[in-house]
Amino acid sequence: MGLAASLAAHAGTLQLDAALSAEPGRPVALIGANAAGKTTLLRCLAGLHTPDRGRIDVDGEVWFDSERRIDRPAHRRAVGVVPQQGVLFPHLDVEQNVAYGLRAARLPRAEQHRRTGDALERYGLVPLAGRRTEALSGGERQRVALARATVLDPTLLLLDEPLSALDAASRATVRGSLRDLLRERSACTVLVTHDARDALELAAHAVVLEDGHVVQEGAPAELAQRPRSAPVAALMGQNWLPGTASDRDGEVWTVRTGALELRAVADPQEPPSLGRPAYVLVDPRDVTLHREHPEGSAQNVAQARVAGVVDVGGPLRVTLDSDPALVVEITARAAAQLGIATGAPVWASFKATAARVFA
Amino acid sequence: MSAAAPGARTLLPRLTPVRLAVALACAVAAAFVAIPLIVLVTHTSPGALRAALTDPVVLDALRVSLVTTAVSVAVVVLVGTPLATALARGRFPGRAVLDALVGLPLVLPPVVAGLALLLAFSPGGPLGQALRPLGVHVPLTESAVVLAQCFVAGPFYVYAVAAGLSGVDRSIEEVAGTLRAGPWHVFRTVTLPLIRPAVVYGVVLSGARALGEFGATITVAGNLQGRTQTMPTAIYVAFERDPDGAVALAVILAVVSFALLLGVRGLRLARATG
Repeated sequence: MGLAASLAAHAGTLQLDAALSAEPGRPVALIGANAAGKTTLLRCLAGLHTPDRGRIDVDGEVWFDSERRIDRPAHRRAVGVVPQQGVLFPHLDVEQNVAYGLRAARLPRAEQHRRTGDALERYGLVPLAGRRTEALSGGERQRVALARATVLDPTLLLLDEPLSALDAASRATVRGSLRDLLRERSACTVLVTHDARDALELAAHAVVLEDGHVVQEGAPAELAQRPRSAPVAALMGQNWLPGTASDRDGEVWTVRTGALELRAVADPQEPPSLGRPAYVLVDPRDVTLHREHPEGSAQNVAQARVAGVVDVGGPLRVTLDSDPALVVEITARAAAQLGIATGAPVWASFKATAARVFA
Repeated sequence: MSAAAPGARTLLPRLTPVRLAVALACAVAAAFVAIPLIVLVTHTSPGALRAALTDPVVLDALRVSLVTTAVSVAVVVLVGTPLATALARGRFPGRAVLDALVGLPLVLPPVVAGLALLLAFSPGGPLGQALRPLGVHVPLTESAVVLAQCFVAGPFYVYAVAAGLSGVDRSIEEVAGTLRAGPWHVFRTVTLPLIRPAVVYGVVLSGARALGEFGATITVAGNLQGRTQTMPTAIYVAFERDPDGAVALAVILAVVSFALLLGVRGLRLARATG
């Protein structure tokens, strides 16, 4: 049961060569920078892009097999696609958008009616049923796109950046309801995202793509804690600070990185060695911001100015102009209390035990 | 009163140089088309119009014109829609050549088009020879009228629809494809509704061109009353022996054309608001 895909494809200059599997009820997140091949992989699964070779198997059905020359067209795959920005039918109202697949599948009238009604209800679209789609907000469009894609109970649900078109405020709410929905579904789900928080909250498994190849995969939390490369760390929203292991005092190491000298504990699996290059990994949630020089047990303290603040729904991500740049996550409330704004002077601190040093 | 000024401005747009230029252009264009037509109408009399409308020759010509135009538009839509799809979306060798070929009748003088069709479909021509075993003889028949009209009017439809198709966001059709809709279903339920304005526009343009077609028609189809004599060819013949009657005929053709154009426009408005 589930999705098993292994394929090679090209689109423009991208050469995609990746394997992907998913189990029902355990959403998989495809993470990667722009042009890493996420959307191309999704399009191959949907039947909108023909792979050069490989095989796609969903619940025992072969959707694509280059050796056996099988290539089911999109409309013969039990797939549901939520494209970027929703892409609703502009000439149909909300209800007709949701009912489109049922009509195309020629289900009996009564069943079309019943399932459309159910979907409108489930996604809170009943009051919008007769509306034209151009008048909808980003969140409403997203709900219509989800209702339209799931109304046929696809065995494979594909979501392309499902939250990217939303503003920060509605993103947190939609993410919450999307998580509940994906957990309920017994089908396979693959979602493309470049936001670590989407992966952490929505997916049970995450696959990181870089230049068309899988560079790391695992539970999202595990990827955040043990990224194996700087891009993966950056995608997972972690501070990945390259430097040199310059000193050791018991289990606390000193690492020179940029203008900072950080104290961190060694990773038990990949401990650093003295005088050698090393990486310090710090979770942005473990960094504390202060208005004045902090007094306390934190061994790592740095003075900096705020370089930028990003609101992706949930805690704010604050980037500091320290060398190397540090990313800090704090609540909007704390940010207001500290007067966080671009250019504001702050002190950042984190404990040595919150920082891990790798070879 | 300064308080009333902004309100007054929203009622009557302020006259900027750009707006003035636009208004001037509209006035010149409208006058350019309307004045000759008004002169035409003033040159005829109710008596002459009544006489023309009871003349069996005129009624025959009107009938032939309307029927052949309707058939031509139907043929143009049936053949032109797939052709426009290929031009707008196809990626095949010779696409640019095909595109230019489709537009050729637009620049060719209609008489030349008629001559080319006549040579091709005459019993000695390649197409005429091919059709002979089937007992089909095209020149000087109603089919020849339709042929001539399709030849000159087709490009208007094909180009209009191709332009409409290239404006359609492919991702909308792709989504439909992932919702159990096969290619034909997608075309019918998504593409066609989205390009409807372009299709209507193409039908209007090609229909108008077919209705007014003269040069190619008279060359390949001749001028046989009740069979191949259309309004334009009837006007031409009448002009040689009875200029006043020709003017009456011209007025009738102008009125019918104008009514058809307005009718399609009304249909489009009703669809858009309904």
